Amino acid sequence: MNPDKRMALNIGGLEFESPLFIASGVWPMDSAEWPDGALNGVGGFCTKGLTLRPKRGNPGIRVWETPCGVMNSIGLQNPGIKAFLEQEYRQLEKAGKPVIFNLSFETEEELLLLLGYIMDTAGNVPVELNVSCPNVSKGGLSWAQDVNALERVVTLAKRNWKGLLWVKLSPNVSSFTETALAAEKSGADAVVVANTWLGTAIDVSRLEPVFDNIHAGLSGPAVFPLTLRLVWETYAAVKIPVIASGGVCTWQDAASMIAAGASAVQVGSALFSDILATAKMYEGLSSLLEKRNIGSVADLTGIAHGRRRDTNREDLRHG
Amino acid sequence: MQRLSDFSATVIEKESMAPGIWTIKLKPEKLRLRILPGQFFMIRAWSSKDPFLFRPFAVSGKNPDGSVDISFKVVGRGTELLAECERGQKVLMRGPCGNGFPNPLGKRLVLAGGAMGIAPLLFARHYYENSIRTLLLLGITGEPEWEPFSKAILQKFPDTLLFSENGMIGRKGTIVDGLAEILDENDEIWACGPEGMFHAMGKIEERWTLPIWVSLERRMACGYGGCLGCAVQTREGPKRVCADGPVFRLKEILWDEP
Ligand SMILES: Cc1cc2nc3c(=O)[nH]c(=O)nc-3n(C[C@H](O)[C@H](O)[C@H](O)COP(=O)(O)OP(=O)(O)OC[C@H]3O[C@@H](n4cnc5c(N)ncnc54)[C@H](O)[C@@H]3O)c2cc1C
Ligand SMILES: Cc1cc2nc3c(=O)[nH]c(=O)nc-3n(C[C@H](O)[C@H](O)[C@H](O)COP(=O)(O)O)c2cc1C
Ligand code: FES
Repeated sequence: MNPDKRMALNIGGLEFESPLFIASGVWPMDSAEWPDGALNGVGGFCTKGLTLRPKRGNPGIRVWETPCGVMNSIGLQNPGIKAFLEQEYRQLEKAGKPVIFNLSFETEEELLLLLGYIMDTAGNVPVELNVSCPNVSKGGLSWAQDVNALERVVTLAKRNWKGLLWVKLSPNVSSFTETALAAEKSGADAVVVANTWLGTAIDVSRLEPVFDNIHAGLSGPAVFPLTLRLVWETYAAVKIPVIASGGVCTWQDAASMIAAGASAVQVGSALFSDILATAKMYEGLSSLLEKRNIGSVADLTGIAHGRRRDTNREDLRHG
Repeated sequence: MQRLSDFSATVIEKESMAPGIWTIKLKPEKLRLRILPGQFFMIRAWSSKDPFLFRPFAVSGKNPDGSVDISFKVVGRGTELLAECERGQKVLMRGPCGNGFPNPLGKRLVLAGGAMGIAPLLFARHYYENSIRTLLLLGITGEPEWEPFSKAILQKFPDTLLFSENGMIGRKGTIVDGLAEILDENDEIWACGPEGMFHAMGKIEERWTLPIWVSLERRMACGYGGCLGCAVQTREGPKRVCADGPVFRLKEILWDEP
């Protein structure tokens, strides 16, 4: 892979070498397990969902294939923030790619404690608040569904975090744009659009729900057009960068998301069907810029809207 | 250990073992595979995004030309598409996945396979042919499709001890009954099969002192240890069947917990 300077971008003051990120929950946290070449063209990656205390995850079936997609109900299995910082993060740090801490929390106190531990060990790294995890019966979902709670928790995070703050929104709300605006107003540096789409599966061999939690999150190409619409609408509504997450499998998908308004793109389930998906997307996007004579990937953002929304957006210009 | 990667391979042979059960030989195009018994591959015989996920299959044999054997039963769409592959067709593979069974050198080994679960044990049998003494056991239910399958196994490994639940072929009884009789002359058991078989083995494991290693199956999305979709709870906490397994000490596994 040839590094392409035009692919570099700036999000909220931080430089990344590529607009392609690995989404939370799809990548091993031990770099010894990373296949050769799979992180080529990756601008950074999100950790799996981290919580204050260790979580064993959900019982029963956790993944289920659907047409062009996959449903999951992992239940935020993770060793807890302290063990993560002491063990897995030490490995990740060595990988030389920016690590974005994906955080899940059930109370505001939990969020503050999480941020405190991260600050002490890792410093002002980028964090991604998962206000959308649809899997854990008590947590996650409620933050995005209640705009007031969302504003409160993002404001709290902003006040207590000097590093980059991404808010990863849930598509399972009545007005998505409203939640994106709430995150922006409360100080988010970027919104991630979006987490998995809640669905249900019945195992007809048992005539019972597949998942113990009945509902589970759908991802993969099946959700691509749905998430693309959210990206389009969010770009039209907010000024902060939009980071797309949902069904991106090819460079054409990534280019569509960016043209619809994404500054960056996260790749998740695509890796299940092609471990080099991100590396291939990088090549494809880079040649698109070349062919179209576009100076920087930031110039592609929102291009399908027919106008640059705000040419003074410093945060999107690359340095 | 060889690092996992995605690569393409060619179907160079395809053989029907019994109705709906196939063995195919897959030859990687560029890669030279280094694999141990118990390791497996994720395979997709289609390049479209539907079906979306690879399917996991144990290696049931490895050949001097660098190809691997996969023996599988058609149970759904993915295995149906794999069974439709003809010689010369390309498939996508991901692997080698997981850790194999631990080194058994110097031990007298029992290989206990329940139905299709015998697949990885066939490779083990072949792999250690010249170095250790192995005893192969096959246990099947009373369903008719397993009779021709058993015969195919017997043809290849005539000394296989065969058990069928209804006595239609081999001895009548379960593989666990069979195991109980031969424990004294053996040092270790490797088993693969339906979960019920492991439960039955677990119940008598306390009375047996010899170590039992089992190869587990779970639904898998990634096969590379990233999604945590294939978790099993163990005495040491949750583990990934794809990356930490699929082989575990039977007594380490906590079946009743999430
Ligand atoms: C490590 C490992 C090794 C395996 N080795 C072999 C092998 O050597 N030979 C072989 O025939 N099969 C093997 N399997 C099972 C095989 O992966 C499934 O039969 C296959 O994925 C089914 O795909 P499908 O699309 O045909 O069926 P689907 O339509 O997906 O499902 C049909 C049926 O298969 C079962 N199934 C689906 N996925 C899995 C899975 N990952 N594990 C177990 N059962 C599943 C379902 O419960 C269902 O009853 C192995 C599984 C694992 C995890
Ligand atoms: C197995 C799995 C686990 C996931 N875990 C998390 C998580 O812990 N936190 C989170 O914010 N998103 C999680 N996600 C959501 C993804 O990060 C991503 O936003 C979503 O899958 C949509 O993108 P995709 O279609 O590219 O996968 C998970 C997704 C999958 C498939
Ligand atoms: S299948 Fe994804 S971690 Fe095992």
